[in-house]
Amino acid sequence: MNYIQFVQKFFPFFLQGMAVTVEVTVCGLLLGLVLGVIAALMNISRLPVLSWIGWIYTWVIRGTPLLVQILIIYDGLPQVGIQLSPFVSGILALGINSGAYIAEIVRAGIQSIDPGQMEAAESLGMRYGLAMRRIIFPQAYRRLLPPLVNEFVALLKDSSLVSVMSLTELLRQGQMIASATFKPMQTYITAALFYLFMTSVIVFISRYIERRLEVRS
Amino acid sequence: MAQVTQEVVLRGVGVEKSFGSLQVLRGVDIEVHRGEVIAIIGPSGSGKSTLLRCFNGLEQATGGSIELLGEPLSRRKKELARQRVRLGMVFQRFHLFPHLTALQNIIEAPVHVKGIERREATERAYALLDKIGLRDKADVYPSKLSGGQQQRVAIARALAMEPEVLLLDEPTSALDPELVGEVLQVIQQLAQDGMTMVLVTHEMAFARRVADRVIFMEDGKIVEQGPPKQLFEQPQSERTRRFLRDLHAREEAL
Repeated sequence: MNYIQFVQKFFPFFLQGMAVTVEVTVCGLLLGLVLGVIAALMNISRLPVLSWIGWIYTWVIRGTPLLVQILIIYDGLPQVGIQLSPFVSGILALGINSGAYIAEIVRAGIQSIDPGQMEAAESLGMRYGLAMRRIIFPQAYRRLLPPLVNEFVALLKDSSLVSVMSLTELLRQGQMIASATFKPMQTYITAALFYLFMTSVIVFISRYIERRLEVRS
Repeated sequence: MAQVTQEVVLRGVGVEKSFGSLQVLRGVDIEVHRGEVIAIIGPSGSGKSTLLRCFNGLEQATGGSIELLGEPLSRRKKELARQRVRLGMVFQRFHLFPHLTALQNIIEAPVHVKGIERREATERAYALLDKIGLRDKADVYPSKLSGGQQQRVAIARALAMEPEVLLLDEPTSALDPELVGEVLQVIQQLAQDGMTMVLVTHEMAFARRVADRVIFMEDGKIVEQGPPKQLFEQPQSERTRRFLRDLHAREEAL
C-alpha cells in the first residue's frame, strides 16, 4: 500500500477527525470571545474588584500550560463530582484558555481608541454601555481582526491537545489510525497536512475580510 | 443680536478642580443666562477648558457646585447622562465618530439616546446640514472632510440634541488658518439665532464681535469680566491689560 492508497483508505476518518477539530475549535473560540470581552471590560473597569478578577483570570490562565488546564478540567472535575462529556470539556478548556488571550487583545484594541471618542459619546448623553456598543467596539473590531485571527490559528493547533480527553478530533483519530496500521509517519504527516489546510483557509478568509474592510473605510 | 434674558441656564458657584496636588480651578463663580454668548479668554493653563469640562461632567469638580436649570449636576451616571443631553459640547479636536458618515454622526445620539424615530432625525439632520452648508457631504466619512468641515459637522451633531447651552472648547484652535473663518461663521449664525453659548477661544476679534460678555481667566480664577468693548478697551485689572498687551505684541511680531 503506497501513500496515496493509504490516504485514500483513511481519508474519511481524517475528515471525521477534522470536523470534530473544527467544531471544538470554533465553539471554544466563541466561548473565548465571550469570556475575553467580559474579562477585557473587567480589566479596564474603574471598580477595583472587577479589574482584580479580570487580572487574576488572565494571569492564571496565561501563566499555566494549556495541557495542565485540560487535565484539570477532564480528570480533575469528575473527582469533585462534575461530569462533562469530552466534547464539552474540550470546548470549556479551549474557551477558558483562549478567553485570557482574547481579553488582552480586546483590552488593547479598546484602549487604542482615542479617549476623545468616549468623551464625545458621553457629552451626547450616551451611557457607558451604549457608547461601548455603538462607538468604541465598531472602531476597535477592525483593529482586533488580525490578532484575533492569529489567536484562532493558534487555538486550532492547540486543539490537538484535547486529544488526551479521548475526544476523537483530528490528532486522536490519527493516533488510532497509527496504532491500527503501524504507519505513524504516514499518519501524522497526513494529520499535519490537514492542520495546515485548515490554518491556511483561516488566513486566506481573514485576508479577504481585511481587504473588504479597508475598501469600506 | 438675540435677546439676553434674566433666566440662569447654567450656574457655577465656587467651582474648584484639582488634579492631585495641582489646583486648576480656584473658586469660579459664573452665571450663564439664556440667550447669552460668553467668551472665556486667558493664557493657556488658566483653567478655561477645565471649567468647560466641569460644566458637563467630563471632569468632576472637586469643590463648589454647578447647576443646570437650577438642578445641581448629578454625580449619578444615569442622571448625569440625562443632564448632558441639554449641554452640547464642541471639542477642540472635533472627535467625530470616524466609522459613521456626517449624517450618521448627527443622528446617532438623537436616535439612540433620545429615541427619536430615524426618519424624523434624518430630516432634522438635513436641516442642520443645510445650516452649516454641508448638505452635499451627508454621506461622506469624517476622514474625507477638511478640519473646518469636520468641526461644522461636530457643531451640528451637538445641536441635533437641542441643548440648552452649547459649550465650545477652543473650536478653531486645531484648524489651519484658512479654515477658521467657516467655523466662526457658523458660530456667529448660532449667536444670532439666540443660542446660549460658552466659548473658550483665542480668537479675540471674534470674541469681541459675537460675545455679550467676555470673561478673562488666569490661574484658575476669573480676573475680570464685562461687555467686550469695556474689557478690551478699558480693562480694569493690570493682569488683563498685560495679557492683552502681550497678545498684541505677539500678533504684531507675526
